[in-house]
Amino acid sequence: MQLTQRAKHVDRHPMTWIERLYFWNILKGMLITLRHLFKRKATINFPEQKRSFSSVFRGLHVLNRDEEGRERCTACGLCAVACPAEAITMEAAERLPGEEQLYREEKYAAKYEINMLRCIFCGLCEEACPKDAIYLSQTFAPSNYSRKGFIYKKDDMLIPNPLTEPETYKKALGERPAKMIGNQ
Amino acid sequence: MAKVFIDDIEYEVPDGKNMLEVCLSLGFDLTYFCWHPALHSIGACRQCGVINYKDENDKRGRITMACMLPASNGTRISIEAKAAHDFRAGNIESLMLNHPHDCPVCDEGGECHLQDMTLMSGHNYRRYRFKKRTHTNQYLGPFLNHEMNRCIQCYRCVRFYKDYAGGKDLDVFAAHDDIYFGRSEDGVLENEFSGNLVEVCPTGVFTDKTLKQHYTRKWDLTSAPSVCHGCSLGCNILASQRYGTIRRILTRYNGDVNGYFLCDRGRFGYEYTNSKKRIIKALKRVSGTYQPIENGNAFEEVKALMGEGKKVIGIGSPRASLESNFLLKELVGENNFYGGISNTEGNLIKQVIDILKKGKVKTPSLAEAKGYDAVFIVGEDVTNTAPMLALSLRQAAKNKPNEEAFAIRIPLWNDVAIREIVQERTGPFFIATVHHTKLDEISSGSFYGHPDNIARLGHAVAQKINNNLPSVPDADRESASLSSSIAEALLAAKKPLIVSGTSLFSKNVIEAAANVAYALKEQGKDVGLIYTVPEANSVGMTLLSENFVDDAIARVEKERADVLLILENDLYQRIGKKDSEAILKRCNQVVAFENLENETTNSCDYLFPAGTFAESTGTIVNNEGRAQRFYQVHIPRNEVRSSWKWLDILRQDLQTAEAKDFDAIVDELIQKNPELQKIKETAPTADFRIGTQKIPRSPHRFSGRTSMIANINVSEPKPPVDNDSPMSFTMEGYHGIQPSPDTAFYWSPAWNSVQAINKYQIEVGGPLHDGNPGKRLFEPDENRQAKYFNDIPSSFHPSNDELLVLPLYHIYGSEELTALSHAVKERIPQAYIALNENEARRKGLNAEGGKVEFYYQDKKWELSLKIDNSLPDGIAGLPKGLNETSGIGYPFRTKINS
Amino acid sequence: MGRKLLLDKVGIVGIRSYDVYRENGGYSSVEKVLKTMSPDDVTNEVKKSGLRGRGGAGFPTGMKWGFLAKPEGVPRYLVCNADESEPGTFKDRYLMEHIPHLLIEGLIVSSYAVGSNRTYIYIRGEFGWIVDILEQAIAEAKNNGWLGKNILGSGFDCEIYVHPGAGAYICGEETALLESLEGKRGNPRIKPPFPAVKGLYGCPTVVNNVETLSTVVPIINMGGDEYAKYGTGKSTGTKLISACGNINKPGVYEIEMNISVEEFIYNDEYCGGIANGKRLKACVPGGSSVPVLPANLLLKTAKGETRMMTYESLSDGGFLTGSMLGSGGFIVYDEDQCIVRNTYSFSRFYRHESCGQCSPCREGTFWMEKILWNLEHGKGKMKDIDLLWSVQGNIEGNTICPLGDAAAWPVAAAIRHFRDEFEWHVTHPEEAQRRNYGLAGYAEPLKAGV
Repeated sequence: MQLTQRAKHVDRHPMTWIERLYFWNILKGMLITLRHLFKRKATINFPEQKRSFSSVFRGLHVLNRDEEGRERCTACGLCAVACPAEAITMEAAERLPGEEQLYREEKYAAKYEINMLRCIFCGLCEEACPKDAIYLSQTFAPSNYSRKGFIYKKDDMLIPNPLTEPETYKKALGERPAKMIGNQ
Repeated sequence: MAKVFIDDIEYEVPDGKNMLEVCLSLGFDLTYFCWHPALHSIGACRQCGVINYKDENDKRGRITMACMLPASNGTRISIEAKAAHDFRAGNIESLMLNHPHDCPVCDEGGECHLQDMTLMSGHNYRRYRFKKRTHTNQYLGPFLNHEMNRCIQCYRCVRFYKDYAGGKDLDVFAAHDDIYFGRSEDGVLENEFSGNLVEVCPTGVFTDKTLKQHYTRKWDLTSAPSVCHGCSLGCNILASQRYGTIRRILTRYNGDVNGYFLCDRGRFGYEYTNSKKRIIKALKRVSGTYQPIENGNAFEEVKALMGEGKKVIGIGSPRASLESNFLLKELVGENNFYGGISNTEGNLIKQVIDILKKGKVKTPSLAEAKGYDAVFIVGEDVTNTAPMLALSLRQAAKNKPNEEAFAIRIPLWNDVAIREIVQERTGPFFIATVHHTKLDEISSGSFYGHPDNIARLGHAVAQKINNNLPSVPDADRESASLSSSIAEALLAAKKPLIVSGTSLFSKNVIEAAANVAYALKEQGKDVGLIYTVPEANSVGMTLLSENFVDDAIARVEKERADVLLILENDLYQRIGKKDSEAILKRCNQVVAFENLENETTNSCDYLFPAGTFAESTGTIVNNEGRAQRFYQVHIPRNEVRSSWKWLDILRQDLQTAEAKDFDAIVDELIQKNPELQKIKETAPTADFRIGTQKIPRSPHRFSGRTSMIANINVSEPKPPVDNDSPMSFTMEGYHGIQPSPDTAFYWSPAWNSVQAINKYQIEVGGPLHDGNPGKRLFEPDENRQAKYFNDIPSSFHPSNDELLVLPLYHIYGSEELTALSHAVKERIPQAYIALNENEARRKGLNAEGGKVEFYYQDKKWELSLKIDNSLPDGIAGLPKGLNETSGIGYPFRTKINS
Repeated sequence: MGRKLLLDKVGIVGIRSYDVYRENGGYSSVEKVLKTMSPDDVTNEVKKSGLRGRGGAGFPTGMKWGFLAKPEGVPRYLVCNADESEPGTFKDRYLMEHIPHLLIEGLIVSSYAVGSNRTYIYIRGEFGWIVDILEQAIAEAKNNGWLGKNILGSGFDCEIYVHPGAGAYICGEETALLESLEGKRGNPRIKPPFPAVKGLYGCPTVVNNVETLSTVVPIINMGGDEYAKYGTGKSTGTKLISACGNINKPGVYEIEMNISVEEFIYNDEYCGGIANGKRLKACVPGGSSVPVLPANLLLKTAKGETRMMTYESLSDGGFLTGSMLGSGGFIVYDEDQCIVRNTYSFSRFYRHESCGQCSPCREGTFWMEKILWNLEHGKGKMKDIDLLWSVQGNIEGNTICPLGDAAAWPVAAAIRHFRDEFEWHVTHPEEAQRRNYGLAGYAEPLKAGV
């Protein structure tokens, strides 16, 4: 029974004299090499050039703000409980009077940390979030010299405020810039 | 037994239940809101609708509320029928019309009965497309947060608060779709049991304000079964922590003790465990200030001080566990160990224990106390000294009037009918105290007087029950007629209950209460006798103590001691300033094992950081002689340890010292104190396993394990191992239904809220599977000959120039540690000195709030005047244990100046 | 001219005052009862009369009195339910306002029958002026020895108190009324225990409507058997009907229960026909809570029999094709009236009057009002009609007290009989704002255009 149509039958007849010379086969191989000289390059000059990600690529986490620049996260903890690597932890705080322009709802995450060493970028946190507050961007976590640098804090993940920094916000929305972590 | 049919399957169920109870007890998942196992049925939410069939030929049936349907023989219902299912889903849909769906910001989220029930009902698609109605929230004080928009109008809150707990200031307002549960205006909810609204409310209308300040989801909490240290009753609690701080206290159901409820002192008084004043390192005093010192060095130095031939004495503590007190006693030697309370108090407790052990009258548990039908309180302000007992007594007061309902075959669960029949009536309930107490509002007769006069009233009652007893000399007519009516009512009752305690420091009161109980017992009554004692382990410590602090003082006065070891005890709180200083000064070195800085720790030489209930495992004995185990919630990241661990190491050879585990210490304790044999049975030993697994302290949904301490240590250290208990410190362990007495949280598939307790009980509202926690150490022997106390005190005569000062108790403030919690702090009253109007006028005082001066132990004290006309002449009351009155020992006599 | 028993003297000038009332034979029933009859005799007479409760449910009054528990040493109470608040019903008000002594007399006789020494009139708060009328009547009766201690030397004591409510419809439900009278929230109780066993202040209690208690007077005067000869079948005696709506002569009529609906509407003695020569569209025959009937089902039953003004005939056909006599609030709609708007108006009333105790009613009435508002204001969708049907279905029969049913029935009946009008409101949202649906689509009413 054949599972696919792509099986190739191997020809196992004894080689003829010509074939034993290998000359023809060497020539065939050289021709392939030669052909590749004229083909488009498979590599790109990273980081000067960047390859575009798939639209469903799951990269570094972004903590979102709403259109008025208020943090969307209410520290409900659903991302943390959904996380299969148990890499998310947070502490909630109550919004005080006068902080309405900072936080969208009456609770917010006073502390929000992701252990990127443990994160498997599965995106379940994004699925679990009832507030569209966390999403996985098109950036992957940059390398770092120390393990501690991979413990991302809230400030590392929070998107810039669209009201005060519209430019950076826009940039972050599309492709999150590499984070400066080394000096931490 | 009755035979009922649920979805065509026959079940045998006990009589006198309703179908909702029956279904839940049988393990069916049936949705409900307004029914509560302690509050019973009112049929308001209509959520437990099932199809009720007349007989097996009835195929249509009609929708009936299971909570109002008696489970009588032949009752036939269907839970699963489509019509029933649709009705319940439709009902939830209508309840959810105005619910804000703010689960992400709601504190109840993840342990919300409404969430559970919505899922269970199958309702998922919303057809309502209009604006929701909204309400304004109220400020309800430091304990509770109010979010009225979440309300689904089940009426449980007012039924608990008003009908069950006797509260006055929470009610239901307005009508139709605008129903509002709250106070008539913003303000503090005054009832002592308001915190239970957190658990009674099926959703997030009333939530724990102290939890809100360091909020954590239920699934993220690490909890341990524990016992409240707030008073002597030993209510069971679940203490929970995250990131190393205690986040909240929940009721741990114990069918024998507190049942479903807790008092506010117990629930909100935990925050001292997170206090900045905690001692978290071993400290040594160097030239007047404390310096941190390496543990090992501290041990070496203290060991050296205690060397051969040194005179070492130890003072135990009524708030430390049996194990800690025992090890201190072992360390210093039997003759050098002193119970950490005054001799007066010690002897009173000894007498109480004596009556418990050698008397013939049963001391009922808190739960049993609800079943008595006449109450006589002898000299105890129960609401403030043992709050949960007051809640039990309030239920006891309903028993007599309820009989009228039973007579016309209204079952107990039909709460709405019972309330119509009973109205506001209460059963026989008599109170004799020093001043007006809160339970007076349900009393049929109250008496205010000096403790000796209270005792005389008690003796008079006893004499009227048993004529052979000596009569009370020179009884005045008023108390004679009161004593007759009390005696009459107690004799008419089936189960009279006598309540007394040590709070007035009066031996006579304790004896009089015992006499009444003995006399009733001889009349063949099923009488109960409850004594309350001052602190969580007063009974336990006294069982281990021969002598008390006054003896220690006498000893050091005679001969200086080299080392004084103080175990978790602020002497200033317990024996007064003068005596504390006396003993501290006559000891060369003072070593204390203490939780928090206090006046005593100010004058010590070495301090060891001792764990509170949150960081310790141990056993305490409550007022009825019930030994109960509390488990440590977490191992803190500092040096705080159970004091018995410190003491254990200290008594060993330091070079080869190895920490003994808890079970070994318990074994040693019962070997030396065979009468405490049963404490071994209060909980399983540390090698208990379900299969091969321990009992987890965290639920399986616990989150953030790899990130919680990643900011401190990326390497993820191995989780701590608990050698002292059958529990693990993490979520690792058995994940089925846990053994009920030792579970750290209530959860069952589809039941995330506290209502999951149903699944841990043999039948709803009944005992837990595997038995209720705790073991009683002494039981009465009915065949014993009662030994009456014949010492009748003479009547108190107020003196003209001096006043007798007695302690008045406050639920918030009179307990040493809970008073340090910031929510409780807000509720502590202003310090005052209370007098009646006559007395105040006689002393030339008139305005309430005016300054009053008096002398205690040669020191001048100044407090503001409070007029309390219920106080008898010649007596002044001082609030016990407040900051302003700390260091005072009661009772004392003083002169008063304005 | 039908025979009258209650309103026969209402035309007499000054009948409101004691003297005129007494001169015209008032209080004779009290004399008769206290001097010649035992309480059980009175109850028996009422049983014989076949009198049914006039408050709406139509429960036999004699039987109700017979159920009263009579334990030793426990007081019994009679409570007069004068909390008449049903839209369309105003007969009790008329009775109390015009001939208050009739009620007082009935109350004394009934109190004697049930053994109530303390009798309450729980009256609707809005009837402030009637409270004054009743209190004056009570004072007059008392001054003349009909109330107080040892009335007429019979050893029977009776006091009557007027207790105004705060104007809640739900307090017309007997257990809610008792709660309110006790000073609590007017939330209905769950039965059992029935008020006859544990009612006011936990004592056995009878609650009766104003008209019922007033009717006791002629029953005693003429004898139960004689009374039973009035009316037809189980609907004995006369009934007050408060007729309103698009009729020529709105008002309170006493009818003997043997006339047809058609006669009642079109006869000049009663309603006098539809106003302005319009045609009859529909009618609510027993107060807002009973199902509305379209004209074709109103005048003839589904079986084709003539519909009579009796308990049985009006409920013939159940709720599918019938309605109820209810409290006698007879509301007539002509062809210009909008059923959707009317249903919305009723719904709004029930939403406002729901006590808020049990969920289906509290939330259901709230929701129904909103849906109906949308339908009426051209914002409805087709599926809203089905939604409305499902919401009312979840209320009916599933609440603690009958208010839930009362809120659900009018909606159910309106959709059942006038679904095309609802649908027209959805399909013609703008037109529906300008004009009414009229009669189109219905079977031609029997007496159209008369």
